[in-house]
Amino acid sequence: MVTSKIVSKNLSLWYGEKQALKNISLEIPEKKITALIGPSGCGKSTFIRCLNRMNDLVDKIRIEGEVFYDNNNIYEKNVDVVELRKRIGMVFQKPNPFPMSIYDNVAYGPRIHGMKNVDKIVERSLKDAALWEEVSDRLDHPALGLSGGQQQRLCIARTLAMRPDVILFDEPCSALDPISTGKIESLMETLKDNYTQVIVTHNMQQAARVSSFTAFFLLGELIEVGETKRIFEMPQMKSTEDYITGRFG
Amino acid sequence: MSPYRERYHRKLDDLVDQTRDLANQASSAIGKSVAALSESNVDLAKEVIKNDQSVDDQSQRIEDLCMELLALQQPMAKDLRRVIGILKIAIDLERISDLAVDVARVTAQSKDKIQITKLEYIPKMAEVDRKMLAQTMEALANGDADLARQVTKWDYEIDGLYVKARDKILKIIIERPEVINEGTSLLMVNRHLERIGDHICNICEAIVYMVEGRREHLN
Repeated sequence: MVTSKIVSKNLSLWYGEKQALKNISLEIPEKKITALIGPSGCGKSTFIRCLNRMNDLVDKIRIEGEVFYDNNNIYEKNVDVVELRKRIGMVFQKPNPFPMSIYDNVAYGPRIHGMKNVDKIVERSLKDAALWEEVSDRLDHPALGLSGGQQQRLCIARTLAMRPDVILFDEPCSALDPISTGKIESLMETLKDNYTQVIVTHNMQQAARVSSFTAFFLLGELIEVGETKRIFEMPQMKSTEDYITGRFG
Repeated sequence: MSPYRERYHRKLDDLVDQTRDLANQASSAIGKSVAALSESNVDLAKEVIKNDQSVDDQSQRIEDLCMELLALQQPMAKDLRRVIGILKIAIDLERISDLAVDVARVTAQSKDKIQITKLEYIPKMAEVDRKMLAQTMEALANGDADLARQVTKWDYEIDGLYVKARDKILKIIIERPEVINEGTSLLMVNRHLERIGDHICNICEAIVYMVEGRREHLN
């Protein structure tokens, strides 16, 4: 039985006059990887940013509908957005380590939240992010000296340090080579037992490789969602098939 | 919507064309091998045997193209089903052709022997096999799963002819034990033509899967 960690109900979003999301109702299953695919501008990144209220920071934005995280509507007025983002972390397209040491990057969140045993948190997070063996002897080195793939895993470690419940990945491998991409994908597989993960990707092979469920977005609408194997073997909607087979122009 | 990845899509279409070509060669092998048997035409039988190399080459070309598409284009959804389906279809077509070659060998190796009976049911089976194969390729070209399902119904006709031919040959063997070798060869030919019908049904199942994504056991 798959339970839903996050549920969006009739979620619509406007950037000024332009509607970017149209009545999206989607359930994100717990401790599974859900991939969001679709052409540029289809709303998949906008959608993922609604899940931890990252869009709150955007000007002239209007949101209607509901997003439930563990059955609580995250758009209620009394919701602590900082706490929410601690529970629902995000990894971005371009690795964005802070201009400080490897250690400080991971320790930053736990420190400002007053968490104890920061050394242990840093070590555990780097181990969980499959980076520990590569950096354990140079934790005081600048994070910006790491390779792109290592920087991205450092960002994942930084997210893990806050012990989140959900991790949102917004095209995490688009700037990485195939080896680094493979490492991130293996890492996601390892994290699956403990975290709910959502990945936005343009790489359909990546969606097919890593996810259990796939949702196809087009022009702000959710066209189809289902088990990844079914979506890539036998999609129900013509536009999904056209997109994944490259007949979409 | 305007298509992109045109070269890829052209190659997918090419895959179907190449498969139809292989089917034509297999069909021709069935027709010629049975005609050679009916007419005791050794030259025609040898032609079928010789052409087997061309069938094998064509089958290899299809397999190579499937591998290329899988490795370089990572087909998805109906394209993936098409490539996988055609890989299976090519195996069945190559097997059909091998069976036809075995039929041709019976004629090629028994040139001095007398016909034990005028062939009646065996040419009819070959005709039905070829009709089924032609319609199957029509279903493949048009992505017509219903036609593929319909084609498998003709296998009952093949099975009926098979039983009639078998009974007739056995009767001759019982009545004239001296023709047991020729009779046994004809029983094998009979069985081969019946098996060809089964292979065509396999191809129809692959077409239904390619078109609808459903695995159906037909006939």
